[in-house]
Amino acid sequence: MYKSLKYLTITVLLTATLQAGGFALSGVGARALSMGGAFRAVANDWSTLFWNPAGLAYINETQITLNGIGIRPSASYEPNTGILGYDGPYSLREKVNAHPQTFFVPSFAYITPFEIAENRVAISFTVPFGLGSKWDLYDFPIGYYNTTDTTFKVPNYEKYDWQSDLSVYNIYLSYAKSFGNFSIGLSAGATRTSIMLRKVNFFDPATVDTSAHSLPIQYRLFPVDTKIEGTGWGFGGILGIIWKINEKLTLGASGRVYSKVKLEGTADLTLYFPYNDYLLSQMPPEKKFMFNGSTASGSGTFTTKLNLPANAGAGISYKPSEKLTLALDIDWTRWFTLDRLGVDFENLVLKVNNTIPLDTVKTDTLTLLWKNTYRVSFGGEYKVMPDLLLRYGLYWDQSPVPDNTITVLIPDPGDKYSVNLGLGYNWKNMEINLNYEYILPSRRTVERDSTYSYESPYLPGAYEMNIHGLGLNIVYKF
Amino acid sequence: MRKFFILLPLLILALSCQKVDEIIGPEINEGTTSIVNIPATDANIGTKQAMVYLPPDYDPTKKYPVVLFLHGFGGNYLFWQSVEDVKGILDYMISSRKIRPCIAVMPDARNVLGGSFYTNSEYQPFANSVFGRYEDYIVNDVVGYIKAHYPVDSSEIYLIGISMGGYGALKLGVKHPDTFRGCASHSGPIAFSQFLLTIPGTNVNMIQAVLSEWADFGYRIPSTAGRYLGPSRPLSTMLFAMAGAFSPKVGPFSSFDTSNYEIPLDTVPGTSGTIWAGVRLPLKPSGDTNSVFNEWLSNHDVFTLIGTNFNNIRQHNLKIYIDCGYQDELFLAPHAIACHTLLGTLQYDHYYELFTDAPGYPAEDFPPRHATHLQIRVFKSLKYFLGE
Repeated sequence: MYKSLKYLTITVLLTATLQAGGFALSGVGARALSMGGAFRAVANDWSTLFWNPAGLAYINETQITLNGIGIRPSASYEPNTGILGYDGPYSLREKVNAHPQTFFVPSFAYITPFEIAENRVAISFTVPFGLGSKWDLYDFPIGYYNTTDTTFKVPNYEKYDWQSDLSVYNIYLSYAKSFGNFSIGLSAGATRTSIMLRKVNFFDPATVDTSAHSLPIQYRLFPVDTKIEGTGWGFGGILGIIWKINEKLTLGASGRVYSKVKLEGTADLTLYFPYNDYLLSQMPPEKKFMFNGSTASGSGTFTTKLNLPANAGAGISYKPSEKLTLALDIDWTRWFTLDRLGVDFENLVLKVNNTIPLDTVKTDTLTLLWKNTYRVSFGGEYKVMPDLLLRYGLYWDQSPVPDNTITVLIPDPGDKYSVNLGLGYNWKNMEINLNYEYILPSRRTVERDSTYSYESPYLPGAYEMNIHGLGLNIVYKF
Repeated sequence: MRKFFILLPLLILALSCQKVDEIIGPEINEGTTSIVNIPATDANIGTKQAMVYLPPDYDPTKKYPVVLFLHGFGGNYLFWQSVEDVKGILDYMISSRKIRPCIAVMPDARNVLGGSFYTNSEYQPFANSVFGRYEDYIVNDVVGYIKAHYPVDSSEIYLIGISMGGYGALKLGVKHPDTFRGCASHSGPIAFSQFLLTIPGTNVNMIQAVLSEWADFGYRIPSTAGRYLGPSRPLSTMLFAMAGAFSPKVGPFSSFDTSNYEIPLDTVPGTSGTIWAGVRLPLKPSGDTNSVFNEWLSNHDVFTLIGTNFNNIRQHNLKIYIDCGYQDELFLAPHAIACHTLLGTLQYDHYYELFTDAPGYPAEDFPPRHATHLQIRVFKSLKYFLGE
């Protein structure tokens, strides 16, 4: 019946980024982040388990570490969809700021050396991917509930109608072995992904009844609040090598891969019908629900398979003096795997006022078309005093999101430039690292092309974002 | 070092507490609507209701522009609010300072034939109006009432109409540019000569198409309007209403030359059934137009009236707005094109749009038809007249 319902669900599953390209975070570890993530060759603290497991071979103490990063993105969107409710002539939303949120990203690790044959093992918990955003983006257009019935109440509608919340964390066991100036390391283990996405889709009543072509424009698209929430397990691994060419020069390289993650969870849809006394009086009894302000909702389950992107990179570190370390990394991420995503629904039946079955929603195809990206990182560390280190770093990171699939859930303004500062302090058996990251404000304007419609997988308009990040890392060495 | 531990939570706290307005846009202030009774000088019309909108922060000591919203055929004074939510549009546009505050009036011009075409329905030998003097009602009675009851800036009275109302807006505007500052036609039949164009996909024109409806009725003459006219015969219902406005006839039943499409519709009250009111259709038995159509063109066609009243229009610098959907199912797009071309030839500044679609609503799925996208079009005409 509702053939357009295939478009009703999610059109972008993987969206808003907190930090680096796509939904990848800037990285792991206050020290590495202070150096802009140029750490594949430096690789001499616990975060090497993420950047380059080969560095584990040179850690000689048993240590436990706790790390936390607070991330504060500021994003805004100036809609240019032309669709009433978002903007068009009646835009109440000339500009929308994402709901302010601060995200806390934890990580920790335990490292211990084996005394046999210079082996090292470690266990770590890291969060390589994450996203989160909340937007109050859609309002019912003027006249959507146009009634003289004073007893009528507009149905409850979610204020933050565009939301994303995704996190991926790794629980990895790491192993490394050195061969003189050369070492090799491997991290591998389980990957846990959780996801929640909410957005507004639209239902065109003319797909049911062609006479709806003549409806006033405010009734030509009925909004559908769409939400999915689920989790899944997968596997992943990181392989790295380090070659210490001499006392001053070190090369490092590593690559990360993930298995396909099967996500399962719940899906909830609610379609909001308008209210108009006049049109209601013109409708035959079986179609009156279309103009009496009722809702059609349904809950079911969904499954999908998510490809987390593989990544590879190489770095070089150089120590011109005892006090100074400089590092440069080049990194490549295969976001290309996020092309299209098929979502299957089960038992998702929309019912008018929870009673009259309207339609069964079965599948959805999500279009992403992300591009592979490069990231270039540069960082330095300077020993101000024997126990006090000053760090700084920069990175440039390409955006994988093309104009033709960007939505408000990914306020990705394009390539990112990140400035990082950090301090390290050694106190007895403890090492304390602090970092501050600022991703510079940038703006992307996505034009609305002539083929744009409510079914398009992107939202045209202007996107702006900047990000503050603050991290603290405490390492205790036994 | 101790300072770092102090700074960290403070910075996190500062970031968390940063206040951000999430929606940057206008705050909507609401105006008010009320229903008033506006009596007509013409007893055939009597007293009709109208909806009146007063803007947010209405101040009776100020002078306000007035916009008269004219409904279409089959509608009444409730149309603009009940279907298009004019109050919502005006509240938004005034609050967001896209237009200046104004008073809006939605009068009623529905008569027994379903629509008056905002015309004085007169048959010369008959002293009274036939189906109502609606031009006089709007220009004199409604405008007079508004001026008497509200603080009106008399130099800024505008007309905006859809379909029949679009015709009425332009007709009254071009005939009375001393009363009206501007007029907007959304999908109005404003160039009658275009009725003679062959309807795409058929071999008949708009007027001849009426015959096919009539053929279904066996070409019989209805004894009352109600028996024949109605939604099931939309074309002839509308043509009868136009004829009732532009070429009515009154007389004994026998005086109607039915072979020349003079159709008696109903008896005139107070004549004991001896006098009938009816219409003279602009058709010959062959289906071609007759001399009645020439009367329409001469006296009631907006395209013609623009030409005959052009000096007056230019002298008063009448603002003219014309739009139509290019897939108008009543084939009115050529009307808009014709008037636009005429005004262009006369080098008269005006607004014109043959709209194809609205952004985000592609034409193939959301065809630009007779009354679609009207909210967006009204937004444009209001802005054209009252934009800040």
